[in-house]
Amino acid sequence: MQVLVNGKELEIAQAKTVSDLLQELGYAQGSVAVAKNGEFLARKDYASTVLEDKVDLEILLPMQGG
Amino acid sequence: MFSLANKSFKSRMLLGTALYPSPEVMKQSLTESGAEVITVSLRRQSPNSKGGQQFWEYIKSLNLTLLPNTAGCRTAKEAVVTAQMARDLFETNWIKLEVIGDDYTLQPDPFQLLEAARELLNDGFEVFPYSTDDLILAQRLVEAGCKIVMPWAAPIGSGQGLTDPRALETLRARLPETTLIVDAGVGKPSHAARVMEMGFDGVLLNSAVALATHPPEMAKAFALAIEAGRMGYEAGLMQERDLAKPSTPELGTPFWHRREQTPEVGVD
Repeated sequence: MQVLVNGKELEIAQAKTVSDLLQELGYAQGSVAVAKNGEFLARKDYASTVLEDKVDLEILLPMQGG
Repeated sequence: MFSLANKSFKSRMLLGTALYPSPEVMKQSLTESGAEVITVSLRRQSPNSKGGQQFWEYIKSLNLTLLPNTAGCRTAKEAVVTAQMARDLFETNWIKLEVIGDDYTLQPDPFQLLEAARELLNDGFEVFPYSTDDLILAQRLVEAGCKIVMPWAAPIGSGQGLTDPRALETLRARLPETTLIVDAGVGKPSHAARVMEMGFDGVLLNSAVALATHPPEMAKAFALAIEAGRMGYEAGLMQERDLAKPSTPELGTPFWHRREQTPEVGVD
């Protein structure tokens, strides 16, 4: 299955849900924010959100800001 | 005490966390500033970089009030989704709403800004809109429900100071009940003191501190300037006069009787 993560195409073998994918990619729980197909996806929904082919995910981390 | 969105603070300075030469210098600067509200952002980063995670752990340890921004967003839709992501991540409903309309000036897009502000207010956010000094935009934001408006003094990161002080004075005069924080363009402590003397409620800055030769000292300088400006405002500034008026009493001026012999000499 192909997914788009932060604009880059990735081939995913194992992950079934957003929660699985975050773990597979090495993101620490509690330190990311996610949007799916341009819409906000709440943290509580990561485990129940099943990945679909070509899904477009935005995964953001805290960063210094002005 | 300074009341901001139903929270009380001692400091009227809001400080950014970007552009410091090192995390250690940022830490010293935050300490010296006395700022209790700091701005943060969220960005795409590699999970392997660990930078975001380390920054987040450090920021949490400071126990300060976080004001996440939507920096870089170009449309209301992008800004709204980014704000929702920020709320989820930083666990706060405060959002510094930035919707940029022009790459060269980083001037806010007033139409998209207002649209995003309305949507976020309906969704329970405390919206801190970054705006220009346009009065009508500020009024529309207030009508939409914003308790706070953050006009620029000059373009972000320019350090130019008050490019249109009259416009800022007008905003203050026309929106006496709104919390007004000057955000962007402040370059020197005197710029911050001047807007505080005008009666602005606070100053948000980043580059002026982070890009100083000695950021912690500059953070302290700004803290003092903001405090001095506020005290000056509260003390009530004297009215400007068109002509000079001697402060020393004229009665008993020495050599008064000789003035008729040297008529060119005036009174200082």
